[in-house]
Amino acid sequence: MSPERATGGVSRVRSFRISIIGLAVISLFVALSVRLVDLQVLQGARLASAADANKVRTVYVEAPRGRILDRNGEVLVGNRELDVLTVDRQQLTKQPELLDRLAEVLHTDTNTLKARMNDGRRSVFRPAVIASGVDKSVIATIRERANDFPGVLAETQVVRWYPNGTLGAHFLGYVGEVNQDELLKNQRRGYQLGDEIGKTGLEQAYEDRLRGKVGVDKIEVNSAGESIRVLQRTAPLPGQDIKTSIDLNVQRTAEKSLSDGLGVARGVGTAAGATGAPAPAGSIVALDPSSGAVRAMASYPTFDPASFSDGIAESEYKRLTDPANHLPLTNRAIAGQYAPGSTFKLVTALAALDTGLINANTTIIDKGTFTLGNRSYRNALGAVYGPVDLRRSLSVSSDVFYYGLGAQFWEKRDKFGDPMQSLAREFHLGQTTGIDIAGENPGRIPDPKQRAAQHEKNPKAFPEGNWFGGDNVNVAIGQGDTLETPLQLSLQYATFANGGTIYKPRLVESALNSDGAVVQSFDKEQIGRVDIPDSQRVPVQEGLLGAVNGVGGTAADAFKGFDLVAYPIAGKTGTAQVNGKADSALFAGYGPVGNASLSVSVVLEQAGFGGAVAAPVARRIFATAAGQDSGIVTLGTGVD
Amino acid sequence: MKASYPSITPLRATSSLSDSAAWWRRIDPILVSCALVCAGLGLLMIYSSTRNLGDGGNYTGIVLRQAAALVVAIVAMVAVSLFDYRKLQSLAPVLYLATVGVLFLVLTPLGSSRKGAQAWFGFGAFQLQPAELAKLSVIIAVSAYCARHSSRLTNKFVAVAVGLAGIPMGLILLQPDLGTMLVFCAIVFAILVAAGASGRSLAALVGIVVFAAIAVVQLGVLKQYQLDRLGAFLDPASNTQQAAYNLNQSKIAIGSGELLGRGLFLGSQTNLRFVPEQHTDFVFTVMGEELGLAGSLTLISLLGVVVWRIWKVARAANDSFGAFICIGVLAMLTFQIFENVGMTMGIMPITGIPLPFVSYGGSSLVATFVAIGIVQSVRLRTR
Repeated sequence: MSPERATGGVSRVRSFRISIIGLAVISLFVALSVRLVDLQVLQGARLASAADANKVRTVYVEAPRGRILDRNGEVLVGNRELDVLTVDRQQLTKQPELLDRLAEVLHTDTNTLKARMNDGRRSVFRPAVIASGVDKSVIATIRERANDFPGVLAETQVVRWYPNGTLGAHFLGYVGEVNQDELLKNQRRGYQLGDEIGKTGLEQAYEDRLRGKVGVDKIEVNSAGESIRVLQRTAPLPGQDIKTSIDLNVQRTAEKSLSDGLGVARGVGTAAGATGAPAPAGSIVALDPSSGAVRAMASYPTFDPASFSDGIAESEYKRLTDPANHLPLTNRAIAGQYAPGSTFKLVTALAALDTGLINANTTIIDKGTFTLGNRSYRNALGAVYGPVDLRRSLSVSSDVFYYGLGAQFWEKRDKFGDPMQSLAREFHLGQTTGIDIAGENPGRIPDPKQRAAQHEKNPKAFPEGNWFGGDNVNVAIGQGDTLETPLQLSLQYATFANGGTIYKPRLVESALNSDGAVVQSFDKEQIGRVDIPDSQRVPVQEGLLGAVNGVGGTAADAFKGFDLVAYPIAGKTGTAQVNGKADSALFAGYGPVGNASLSVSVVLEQAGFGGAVAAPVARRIFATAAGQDSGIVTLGTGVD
Repeated sequence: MKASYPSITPLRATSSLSDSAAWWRRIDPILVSCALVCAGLGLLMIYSSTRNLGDGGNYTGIVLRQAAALVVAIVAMVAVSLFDYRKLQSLAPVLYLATVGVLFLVLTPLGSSRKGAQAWFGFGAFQLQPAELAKLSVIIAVSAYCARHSSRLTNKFVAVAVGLAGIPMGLILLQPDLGTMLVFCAIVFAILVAAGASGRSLAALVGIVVFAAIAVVQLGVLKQYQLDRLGAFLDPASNTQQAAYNLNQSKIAIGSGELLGRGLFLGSQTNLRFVPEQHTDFVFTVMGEELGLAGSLTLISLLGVVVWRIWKVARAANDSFGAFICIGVLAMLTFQIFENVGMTMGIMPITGIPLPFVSYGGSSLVATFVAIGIVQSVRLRTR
């Protein structure tokens, strides 16, 4: 017998205490069971989906972006494979000294590589890019010493490629990383941070077609983020190619002659022809009058779209957006607004004929000055043209002839209204053309109503709300507040060239799939009509032909030597005064007359006479289109 | 010592222990079979959580080691149950001193360190974790002391009992192994409750533990990871912390099992290794995820039955020593089960305590089965 048996009290206490312990144990087990039911039943569904979310990562695979082609299929923007080095992020965490070794073979420093690696443009579930455009020899080195470079791979990355350099930069536009605003705007279209998106020009306008469809990989990952297997793969759908109406040859000539022409105006092109004008900027638009198709569009100064393709440096972006550098990013062809000067006489002449103010043979005596009230208006350089009819007024660019028309329109405004302005608007001036890229400005056709409204809206900026006869005199020669974009100027002459049909200017002819088959073609679209009976058209055209080919024609010297028999050209020069600046030089014209296939506008800012500097530029573009020797840009002698 | 217990002589039942048939009949089949089923489920869970460690998804290295340990554990259980537990009372001082010595040695360069704790002896491919076996010696020592003084368990004797446990506890805290130290607290407290310590002295003990806990946190005895785990428990939303992440993954694993589980070997949390230490401390999550509420409630019930059977033996024991030993084992198992399963579900702080019978770890498995063996020994000698 145990001695404890005798002490029954102890045993009873023990029994009681053990029972209490039993109760405590039961409560603990109940607590566990309750919590188990809570997690697995009450919270089960939520936690189950958390488990699913845990293991699946979605990786987006960018589709190859469509190319942009010229009308003959020449590549304007393509894609290029770039040799890049990537490194496995996990390896780098395990072996930080890997970066030092990489810096050595890449001849750079560790911090540069680190910054490059943390570039947020690539998914963290893909290896980090540490260097792009890597030399083949470096890749060979890394492959040979694979043991020193665990997790480092040579890959190819696709970037935008511009085989013609800066050619067409403005209408092509550029691509860049999608920003916060664009991300919000395109939320439902599956853009991810780091994706490429068209920012300007065609890249922007045709983004949806060019981009294609992003591929989606659903990848099962483990807790370390290493991918285990692909659960679901939706292959990326390549973007469509965009076939433009641009003619690579014409475009090339346009850009070259634009920059040369400005150079001539500045006196750097040919020392003999130096005029010493600032000539900082300019623009050219060449359209097909029969369809509105843009054959060339140039704007100077320009930029390199490739500098955006791999992320643009901040200093470079600053330079491009600094007004002191004349805003190279601005597409002057559609956004630049210029006084059209004498090129506007086309409208004034047609309005005068249409109202019956004059007929084709009405002749005035140009004594070099026109007087309205106590103000006198002079021809350029005070030239005296003597007897001038409509044709001659256009060929030699008699301002006096048009001053008179402007003044008479005003005198007879009760009968005619504002015939110049009305006709200008019929020509689609003063409003955007609706070309298929963004950034267009509307220009301005001033009239009494517009001026009064403008004054009322902002009296500080526009202190004068009244319209005077002198304003009409100015409008008649494309001065005053009249503004046109180079695109509108070209469209205006294209409309006249085809007999009055206004086609919406457009850059794109069709979209092709990756096999080259046409997915959609964009047909010409008529957006207006100007009735120009032959009785008006023929004399005006003869005047324009005379400007290029006639005795005393303002552009005749510029087109000397051009085979105008094979390729007759009608055109008009212009020299527009700009307050506080040197004159803008302009030329607008079309050819071959009778079956016009090209309408060209040239605007050179602060460059001098249109006949002297703008017409020679236009000549080269026509020469290229006509298959003639375009030669070099020289200074013409035309005064307008 | 023997002199003070002259009445200890072999009981009648003991003499028949050599008759294996009789021994077989008198063991508790429910206790043993439940313990074995738990260990079997443990092997399954360990395999599920480690089979992907090698290439090819069929890695058996860890589960085979555990199976080998289980064989050793079963043999040890049988051997211990054949041994008369009453002899342990006189062996208690020797066992106790040996244990303290070993716990001291493991802190010297003879011991080896893993995951920040100096808690192992390495014998080639095998490691021995002396703290696991120390739990048993402390159960025996404290039970022996209390049994001897249970008729007059004054505050002084309570203090001595606590002091007995305190020395090995201090040594374990130096490793540091906070979890195992807490197991000792539970063991000593439960034995003192059973031994009839006064309510006041028990309340004082609770007060001291709370005070000590605060002091330990304040004095920086705990390592950063231990504080992190505590922080994760107190504020599970702090996802930046690794510990909070672990806890969150653990809860996701268990919860995602829902009623019937995702299927054996089909748990994504398990297969993709989202839960840390999954074959050791977090083995319960495998059960939760792959076999759902059905599987995990079954496991908890089996463990509950084991504890219940031990409790029955404790209550029926002839002598205080036997009863106290059983209560010590019961407290050890219950605390470990509650703490381990509770931490995987976020109702207890995370400490490195294995789930008895189930978690990977040979020392723990052998110690647990030896404890069951001792309980059987008590039962076999109960009239």
